[in-house]
Amino acid sequence: MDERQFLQLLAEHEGIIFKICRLYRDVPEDREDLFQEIVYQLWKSLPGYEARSKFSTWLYKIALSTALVHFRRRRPAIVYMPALPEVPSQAEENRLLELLAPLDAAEKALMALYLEDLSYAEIAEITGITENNVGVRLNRVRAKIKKHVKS
Amino acid sequence: MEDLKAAWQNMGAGHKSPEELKTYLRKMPVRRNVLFQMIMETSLFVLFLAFYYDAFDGHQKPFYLNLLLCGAFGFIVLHNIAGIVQAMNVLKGKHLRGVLAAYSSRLKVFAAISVASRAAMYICFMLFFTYAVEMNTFKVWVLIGAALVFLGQMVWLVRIWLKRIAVIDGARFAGE
Repeated sequence: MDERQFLQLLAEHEGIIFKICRLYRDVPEDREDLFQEIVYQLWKSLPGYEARSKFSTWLYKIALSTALVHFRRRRPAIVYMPALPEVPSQAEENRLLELLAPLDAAEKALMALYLEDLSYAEIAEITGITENNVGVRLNRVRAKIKKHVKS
Repeated sequence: MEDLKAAWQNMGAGHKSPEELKTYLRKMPVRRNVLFQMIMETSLFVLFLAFYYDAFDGHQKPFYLNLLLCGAFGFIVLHNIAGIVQAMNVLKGKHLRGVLAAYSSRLKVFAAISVASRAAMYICFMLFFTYAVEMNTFKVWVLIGAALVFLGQMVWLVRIWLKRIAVIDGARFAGE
């Protein structure tokens, strides 16, 4: 795959990277840092990409790995707003991120893959745990989210 | 859960122009701060090595002390360079678990060398500057003060590494 093809595929899948950055980082500057780091890692890892697996599966693996090992530098900024002029879709997004916030880094990775509608087999391939374990862990994560909602 | 899925899939993603994406392929703007910090520290150590001999009477100290001091500082410079190279490396592993396990092992080795080399540098530094010095009460207190500062820095360094390792180990899909 040459640079032009890679950039084209990257442009098609950049939404995944944006979502992972939003999930793992609270501040826009941190998200931008992580985005650039993921793109850099993807490009450097490209020789290891085997075309027999889906590009998105490979991208998830690299992007989530980078998010998990890349150290966060800034603390979340507290911004006091005079009002909350949120459009509904923004409110929905914030609510989703708020629900996922109590999860640890590994649980967030599992949930991101689950919410992306990947099969247990695909999640197992990306994370390196068995399909059974994916199911068990997802049940635990779902229970944790439900508990958080109730509290 | 279906609501969450829908919210996730409808999450508004940003957009980067092809030119922006292209610039990210080669330069590493993300780690500029880390690199800057390492390059600054390395440059200061190199400067120290270049001038200490004349500035601090290296010729009046035994050869082995000069060697120890240069060796300890030189090792930290090399270790910093290794850190910069490692920061540019590609993450290796077949899956997330593999990547995190490999990264964690590398980080632990790097942290252990970092702490040990820093301790060695402080010890060599103290040995060099206290050689043939006639001690009095004031000098002893200065020495104790310097030792406490070094100790404080070591504790701080160990805590930083332990925290970093804990973050990686905490995300390792343990239990499989």
